[in-house]
Amino acid sequence: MCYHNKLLYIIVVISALIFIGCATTYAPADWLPKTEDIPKNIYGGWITIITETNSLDSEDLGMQYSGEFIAEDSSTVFLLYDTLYQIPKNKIKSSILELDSKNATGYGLWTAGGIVSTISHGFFLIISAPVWLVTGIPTTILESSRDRYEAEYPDEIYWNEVKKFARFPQGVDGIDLSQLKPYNITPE
Amino acid sequence: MKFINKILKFLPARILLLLISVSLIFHPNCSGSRIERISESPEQFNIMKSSENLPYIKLHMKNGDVYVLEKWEINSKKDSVKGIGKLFNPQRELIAENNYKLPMKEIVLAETNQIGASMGGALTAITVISGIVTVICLANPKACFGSCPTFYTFNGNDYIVQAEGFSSSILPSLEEKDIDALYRIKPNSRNFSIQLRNEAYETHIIRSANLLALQKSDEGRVFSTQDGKFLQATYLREPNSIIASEGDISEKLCSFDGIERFSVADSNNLAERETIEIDFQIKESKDVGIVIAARQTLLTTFLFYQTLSYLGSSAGEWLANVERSGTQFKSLLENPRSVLGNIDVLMQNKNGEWEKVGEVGETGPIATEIKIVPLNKNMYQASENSSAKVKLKMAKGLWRIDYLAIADIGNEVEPIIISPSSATPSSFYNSNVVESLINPDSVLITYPGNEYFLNYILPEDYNNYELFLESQGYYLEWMRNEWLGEENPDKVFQMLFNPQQYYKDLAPQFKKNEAEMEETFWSSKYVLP
Repeated sequence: MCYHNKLLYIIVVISALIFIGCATTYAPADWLPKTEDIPKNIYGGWITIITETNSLDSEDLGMQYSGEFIAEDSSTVFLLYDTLYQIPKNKIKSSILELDSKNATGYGLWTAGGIVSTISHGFFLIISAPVWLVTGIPTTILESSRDRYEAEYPDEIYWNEVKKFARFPQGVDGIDLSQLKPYNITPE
Repeated sequence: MKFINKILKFLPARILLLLISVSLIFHPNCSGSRIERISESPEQFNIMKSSENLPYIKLHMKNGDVYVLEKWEINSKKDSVKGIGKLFNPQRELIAENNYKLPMKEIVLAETNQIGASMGGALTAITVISGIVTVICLANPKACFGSCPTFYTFNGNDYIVQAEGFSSSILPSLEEKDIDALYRIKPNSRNFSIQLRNEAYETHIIRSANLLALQKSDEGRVFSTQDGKFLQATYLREPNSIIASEGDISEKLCSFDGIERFSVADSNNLAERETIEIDFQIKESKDVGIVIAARQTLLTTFLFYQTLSYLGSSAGEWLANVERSGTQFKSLLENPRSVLGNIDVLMQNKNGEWEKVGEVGETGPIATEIKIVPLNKNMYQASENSSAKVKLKMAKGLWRIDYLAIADIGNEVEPIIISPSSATPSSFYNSNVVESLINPDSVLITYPGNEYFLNYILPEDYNNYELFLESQGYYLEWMRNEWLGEENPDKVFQMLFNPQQYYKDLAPQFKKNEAEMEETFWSSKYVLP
């Protein structure tokens, strides 16, 4: 029984290590393209913006906006969800931009499967299981957090870096924003 | 190898901490990237044509339209771009699909993307390596598994394995006491702990685990003999020479330091013997003995698992027969053991014939056991020279000898038996660990992964005592699927009734695995001698 408890403990710890370190995605399921489809993708990345609380209004806890990153200009970020949102940059507390879907869950399960498979290694398990952990955990965490642009109180350097991932990296001058349609997820 | 050993020592206790650190190092803030996007105005866009890495170009127009082209190329004057692709409006509705040639001046921004290698590459590599290990272990499980109850003591830096308990007690009826010297341990207080571990796919049934404390003489040590006596010994010294088939091996055997002398098994007969000749100085009329520290190679591990393979699905039935048949079957089990034998110590009698005067040897490849064999005084004193000779005779490839010395033998001493006073954890299931080990009618049962610290209180003048561990019990090997493919009762009968031929028949199979087996076991083991 003690053996089983220990095994359970190890599994819980490993799972915690993997998933505590993993970055959360804010995008709806299947919204983000596969990495390999990025070169021909015609939409912006998925941006999540949290605005600052109003210091004069104690009940204002700030807002969270999520949607397709349409564009940005010197003062505003344009975000499309059910409608177009224009968020003043000076109100933004944090911003997270995601570009593609990640395979972190797959890698996590791959790592777990690899660890379980080391049972067949006998004495070798003492080496092979840690090798799996040391490789699998960072790989999973890195996969979950790659190509993700996150900033607290984002400045112009941040916006200059991420604007190329908008639907309109050239800006919105001359574009009729009232006609924009959000990307509809179509099941494969 | 030392480096690997250090890593292995480091691993079990601190692995979790290491992994947490690694995970923290790779916190999301340290994230990488697979997507490299090049987005420039046309005049700054320097890539001239599509390639395998850059198959698409996206051309953003002033009004929000975007062209997505493949097989694209910018002309040499850099005033137009052509390619095959699609045009989307700002709503990202498909407008047209065509061959396009667009003037650069109409384009606001040109963009292309390069996708880097997947993070799964590392996992793929590990999967391949891990798969190879799995195949090796499934093909040769005898090299990857196996141990006995192991006892660890603290040497000042770390817990090191000091004893394998009752390695040949593979059945309840074969339960026996086993005495192991804690030779390399120097306690620094009266409170002394031993860590008991189950590190194999086995069930260990431990009836007792007592410390034996034996009074040392001044600057001397105490050694046990094969027949369970304890002898004080002084003036440990190197022999003049130790000659094996490969030459003088004195240097390897001059200290108990982990540097061992071993040979490989014979290609045609696993019971084939070899001889080591020892020349030592005769000193007055003192009783002397030869001190030998040795452990087995993996040959017996292989033979044990091979026998279980031959027993196959009927292993349980065979073993139950051993339990029921009393002494008859057990004496049969002695046949294969006696053909391989221990390390025999021989001296020349007055007729010049070599005569066995004692032996040492204990089953198990992990803990090195140190024992003394008293030499026959009449024999070495009959020598006309100032030196005498002793021969060690043993099966080739079966023993790893670490240390060999000559010592003056003093008195026989009786042990003080010290039972554990407490344990951590203190209970298993609903039983008290210490009570289970003290009461001869009860046992401590451990399963793979179980660990207990057994705490003892030594005599006040503990530095004057040599410590031994006396364990009693037996263990049950867990059968594995991989062992069921070689079921062959005829080979089992051969082992019991004609072990000489059995060892000859098995020699080619063992030789095929011998080098790999040692390498696999010792590079992967977490039990360090």
